[in-house]
Amino acid sequence: MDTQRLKELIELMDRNQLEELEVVDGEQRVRLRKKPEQTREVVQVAAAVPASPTSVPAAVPTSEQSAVVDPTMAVLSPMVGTFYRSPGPSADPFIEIGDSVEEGQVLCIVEAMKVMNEVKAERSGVIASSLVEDGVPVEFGQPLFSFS
Amino acid sequence: MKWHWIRLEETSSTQIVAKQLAEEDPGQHRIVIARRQNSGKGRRGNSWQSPDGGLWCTLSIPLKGPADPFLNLLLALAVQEGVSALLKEPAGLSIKWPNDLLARGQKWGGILSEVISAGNGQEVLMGLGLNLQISAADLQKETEIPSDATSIMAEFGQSPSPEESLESILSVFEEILKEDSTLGGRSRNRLRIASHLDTIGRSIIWKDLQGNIGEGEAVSIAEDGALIVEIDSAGSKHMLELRSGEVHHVRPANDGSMPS
Repeated sequence: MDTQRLKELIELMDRNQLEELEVVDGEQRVRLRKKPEQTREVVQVAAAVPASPTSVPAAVPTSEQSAVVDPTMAVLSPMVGTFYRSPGPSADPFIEIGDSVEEGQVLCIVEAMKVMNEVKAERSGVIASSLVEDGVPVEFGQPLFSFS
Repeated sequence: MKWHWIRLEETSSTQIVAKQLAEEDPGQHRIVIARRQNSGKGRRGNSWQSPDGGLWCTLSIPLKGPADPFLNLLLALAVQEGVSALLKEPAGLSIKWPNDLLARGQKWGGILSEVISAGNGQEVLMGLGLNLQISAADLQKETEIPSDATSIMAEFGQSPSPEESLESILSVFEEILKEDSTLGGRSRNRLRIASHLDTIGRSIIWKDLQGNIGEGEAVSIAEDGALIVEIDSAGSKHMLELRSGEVHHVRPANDGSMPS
């Protein structure tokens, strides 16, 4: 794994306030763990945000419940792309908060460059919260839903 | 490459059939082709009219690694080169990033891919819709075809058949897939795609999903197929990679259309 990739992973951990991250890519496996430190502000920047600084969404104030999600209890985005809760604009969402889902059930779609990627539940459980708005850009590894 | 062929007279959508087949019998390279579709689908469930004379098919490919959006561009390249090889005046074809096929600047086809879990792995289902032997009059008759869509027949007066086109497309596709797995092959394919991308060198505007409109010049594509855009912001230039959102070419002054 090259240093650029590692740098991206570290940035990813920072962005999502992850304490620990393990990535398996083919035969490579890397685990990154951070010492606990003071909480940071989380700034979400859209994938296709244009240059002007005024268009960057304001920093989300850090509070007790903001963005601190246990990755083992979350569904993470498999890639950079656009998050969709339903198969089409007029269709019902794949799941609602409070739904019980089975392992393998489709939860949402992440679109990157006109490739629609189904994101399936890797475990069964009850969806406690939806962490991303429909139609919003998401980062690789960003938590999308949390299980209760 | 050994493809399993499923030939259908008419179906709802080759994408739906391919998805069912991949789930029932995963791990196969499969082609589902239909003469007509009665509920073909475009991006985000937009309907795609699919009368006789077009190529309506889905290629289903088991993935060895993670999903790779670059495959979409490789298929676009295969369509561009495969169909151009059958035309007397091939100069009019180009690709609009990331998935539109243009004939003299108008859309004549598109690619829509889905990545699904099937069996123990993942498969990519690449839906391909090409307006081939469809006359200008027939295009107009289909009320749901957008008025700016075109076909090979409408632009060039004649068109190869769907089967003949697919054969030519597959032969290029297999060659570039093989190339893509060689050392430096991805870069060579990237340049080959870039040479057909109508988007590169153009001023473009895009709307991201927050509704912000960006403007810049498309200069290249990245290793994963992202569009690299140069932005001039208050006199300082920087690069941005676009992976989602809708991209629009900025037309000459007489067409001031904005993203819709």
